[in-house]
Amino acid sequence: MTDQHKCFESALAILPPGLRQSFGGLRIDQREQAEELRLRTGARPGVSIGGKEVKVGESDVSTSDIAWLLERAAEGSLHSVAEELREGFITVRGGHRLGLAGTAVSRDGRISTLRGISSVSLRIAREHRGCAEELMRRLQTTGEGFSSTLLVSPPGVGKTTFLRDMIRILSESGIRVGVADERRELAAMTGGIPQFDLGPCTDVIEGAPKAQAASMLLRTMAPEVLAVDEITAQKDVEALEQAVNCGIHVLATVHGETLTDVIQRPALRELLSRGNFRYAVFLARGRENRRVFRVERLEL
Amino acid sequence: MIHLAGAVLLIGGGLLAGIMAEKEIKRKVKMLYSTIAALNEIRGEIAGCQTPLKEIFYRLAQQPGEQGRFFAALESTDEKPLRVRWEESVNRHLTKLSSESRDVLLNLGGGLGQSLAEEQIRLLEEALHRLEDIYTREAEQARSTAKLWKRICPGIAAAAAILLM
Repeated sequence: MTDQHKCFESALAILPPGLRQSFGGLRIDQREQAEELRLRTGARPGVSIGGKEVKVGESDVSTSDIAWLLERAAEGSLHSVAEELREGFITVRGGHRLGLAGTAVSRDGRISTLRGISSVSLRIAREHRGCAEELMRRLQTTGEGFSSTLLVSPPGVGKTTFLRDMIRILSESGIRVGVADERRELAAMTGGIPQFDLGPCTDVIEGAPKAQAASMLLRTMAPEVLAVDEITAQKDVEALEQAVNCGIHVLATVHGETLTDVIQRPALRELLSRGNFRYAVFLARGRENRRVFRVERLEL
Repeated sequence: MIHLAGAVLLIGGGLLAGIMAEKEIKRKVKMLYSTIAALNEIRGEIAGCQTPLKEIFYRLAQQPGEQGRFFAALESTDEKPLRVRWEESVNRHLTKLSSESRDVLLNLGGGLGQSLAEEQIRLLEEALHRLEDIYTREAEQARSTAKLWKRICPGIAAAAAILLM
């Protein structure tokens, strides 16, 4: 069984037995390329491959399937994933992200939880060792060593997978990397042991808001590179600036397709305009679902 | 002489039976007491740290005796939902508890882990309240029953000894 096949099987393991059978008919190559498993109450299950959703199985997903899945995802303790529920996802064993859609419960103008979950999307976490080797060579051709880099792509293209491999490569070269893994997808710790290889010189704080985790890492772990996935909030930006001001290089990801998308967000525009990143890398799907990248040196 | 020895043995046996009966009655109450303590710990962990139940059960499984075995059985890696494992474990390991106490626990198991912290704490407090009431009642009953058995058994044995002599 290849590593990619194993990732698929590990994601499948949290589904109820009946739904697992629905995906049993997928070919090996489909299992290796599957990106997400889609379950909607009252509809047949689906699998997303190459950005397209394909229906599988004969039976519709039921409310008890979703309830079973939620219990497994929360490991029988819904109260311990309250924060994640509020954000609309749970990270499950293996680093897979279970996105949830249902009825939002609001309190004081904020979503306090989701209930009546009607559909879920299980994004399969994959480790592609070596996927970022060529990218890292391109980024370090000037002989200056690693410089702060921003990875940009739309959702589902592979930013997190690339980020993971870049962290590993840096760490294996002896660079101390601090990782603020808020959504527990980069390292996917189980019992304190990372399920993905982030290299021998990597320190991870997971489950904490990025800004707080970044501050803690800067104070206590003396990283040479700070890695953060999906910068969204102003606080994330401030944490990165703090790192840069301490002379630390930053490796971060952000949603978008082009530089224009990125600088349309005021917080990110400010971050880029201060020269905090040397490079922007744009990831996209190429032919035969391969990932292609374009490196742009930032001169803002 | 033989009669005397037999009488002594009978009375001794009666005393022992009385002591064993007292111990058994007190053991049941002690089990309820430690169940209440365990539920209090679960409540405290959820209220304080929102600790996953798996972690709490693992710690509680280190206790000796039936309590430990009850929580160890909940750590099963099979695919049964927690409420099913809880029910099976109550019925297998907490048989010494009264049916009233077991009903409270079975009711609790139906909701444990299924909701957010606030609701979990409410369920646990409700169960604890009922179990504490049961404990107060059963502890008092146990005290009087145990005293009675400690007197009756040797008494019966002495009567039997006299009759035989």
